[in-house]
Amino acid sequence: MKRVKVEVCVGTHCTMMGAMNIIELIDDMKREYQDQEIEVETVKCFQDCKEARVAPVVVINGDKIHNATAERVMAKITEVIKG
Amino acid sequence: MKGIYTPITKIRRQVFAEVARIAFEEDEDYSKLDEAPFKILPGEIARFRDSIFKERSIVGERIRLAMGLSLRRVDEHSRVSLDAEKVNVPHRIHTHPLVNVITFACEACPTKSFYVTDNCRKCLAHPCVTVCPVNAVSLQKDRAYIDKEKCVKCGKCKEVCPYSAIVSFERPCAVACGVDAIESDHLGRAKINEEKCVACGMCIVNCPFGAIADKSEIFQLIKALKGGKKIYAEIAPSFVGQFGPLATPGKIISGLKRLGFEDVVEVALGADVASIHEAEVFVETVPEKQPFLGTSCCPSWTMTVEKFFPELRENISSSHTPMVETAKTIKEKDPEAKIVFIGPCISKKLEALETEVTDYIDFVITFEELIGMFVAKDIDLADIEEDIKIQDASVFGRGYANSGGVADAIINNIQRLYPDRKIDYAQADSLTDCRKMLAMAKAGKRDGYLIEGMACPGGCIGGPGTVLPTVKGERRVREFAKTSPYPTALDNPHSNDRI
Repeated sequence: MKRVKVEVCVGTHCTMMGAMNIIELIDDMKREYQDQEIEVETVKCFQDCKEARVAPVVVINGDKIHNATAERVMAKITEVIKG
Repeated sequence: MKGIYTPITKIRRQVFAEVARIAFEEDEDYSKLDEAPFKILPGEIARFRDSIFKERSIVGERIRLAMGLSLRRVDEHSRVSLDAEKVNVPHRIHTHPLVNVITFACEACPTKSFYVTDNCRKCLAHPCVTVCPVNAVSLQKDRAYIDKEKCVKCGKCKEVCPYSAIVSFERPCAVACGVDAIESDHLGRAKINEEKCVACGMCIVNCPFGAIADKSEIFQLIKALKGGKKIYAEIAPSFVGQFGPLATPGKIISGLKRLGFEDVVEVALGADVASIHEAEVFVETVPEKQPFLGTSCCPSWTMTVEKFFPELRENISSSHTPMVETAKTIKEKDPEAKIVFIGPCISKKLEALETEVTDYIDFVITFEELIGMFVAKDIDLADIEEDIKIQDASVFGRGYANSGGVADAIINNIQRLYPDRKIDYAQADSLTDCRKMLAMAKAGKRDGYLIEGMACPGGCIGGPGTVLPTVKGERRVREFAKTSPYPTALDNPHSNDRI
């Protein structure tokens, strides 16, 4: 069993840029991959937005994804599970 | 598509945040409006359409609507900032129409039609040809063919095809519109019939090309907030969870105060007042004076009754909406108060223009527009320490946001006040279903009923101005309602003060 820890920033900026829909999608993935351990954590701002437009921010097993989209997050989780 | 974060959602929200940012800045440099489309869509490669120029022009129109400005003429030269100085005022400006089709963003989708797909095996039975009542289907070289000139769109061929080879296709805006207000202009693009439109906003959230948008009042509201007058926010019951899982109701209120609001009141308080009034009206009038009572809180529902069933208008409750009742409570404490309604709804923007309402409500904005204001002002709700307690409303008042919640509250009050009274009720939560329910009522089939009408699927939590997907919103509203110390409207000291 693979362990995937997904931290989703739910600061106001990331929320505006679709963070809640990313969480929704990971919830769907959890149902699909019930044999894996996918853990979602909603976290406060990583303070990366100050420099550039990077929202939403998602961290998967320590790897940070800027300008995260549902597709990119899903691809990364699948990579961790299959890889 | 409501509830799915698409590139259209992203652009819409970026536009609100950018317009809010420009409004919060000190100088009055309108060239920032002209530059905004470049900031939102940088680079020189088109993302979704044929050219970046067109994409930026569409964003330009969105910026104008967010400023409260009208769309520009396509055949005349003008800047995004045209007439910006006229809307740089600290009060509401409204020019019709509220809901606009950005014509050159509309892809002129064909109206309802039937197509034969690759699934067709040109079978021996070809029942599609047999069942067509107008002889529009014939077998061609590779597959069946539907003659569009002859087709009457009955769908019989689609039903009988054993290979599911025939598909139907309808304009998403027209499907979403429950009052058949979507027509076509001379180029086949969507055109809204103002006589029919009730501004529910469903076409806005359902157009896959993002070609429809409503006007916003955020620019003028921000000017007013900077002007130093006391401005109060009244926030609709569906607000819980709209700004992320870490933004608790108390933090949302703190955030609003940081934006410059004097104080924040739950609209659920006005819902408590209205539900007690509607309970009294029901017991007094149904069935002796009127056959049924319709709820009055959803403006698109009320407008649907006025426009399509005018003979039933007097059956709709005369109670003020929760928005107005809440404003009255605020005005009692501070007669000089300026009041902003913050909710999931765009038709409230029209309700606020009605003669009886306009003195109470100064601005109407949506949750989506508000989150743009927070972002523009760098307010991170998740990071606010302060968690202000808010306790204006009962469990039932807070339940108004979910479909069925209004009727529940009224029935509960009737049962408490008049335990012997029996009540039948019906509810509908889309305009298509609302019209069916009204047709039944017109036919006398809803006599003695309380009927609840809401335009948005799921109720207010399904409104076009929400940030949170509907199902999650429903759950958050229920959870927050349970934390109220007042089980019903009749136990709420704030609403009883008013009555």
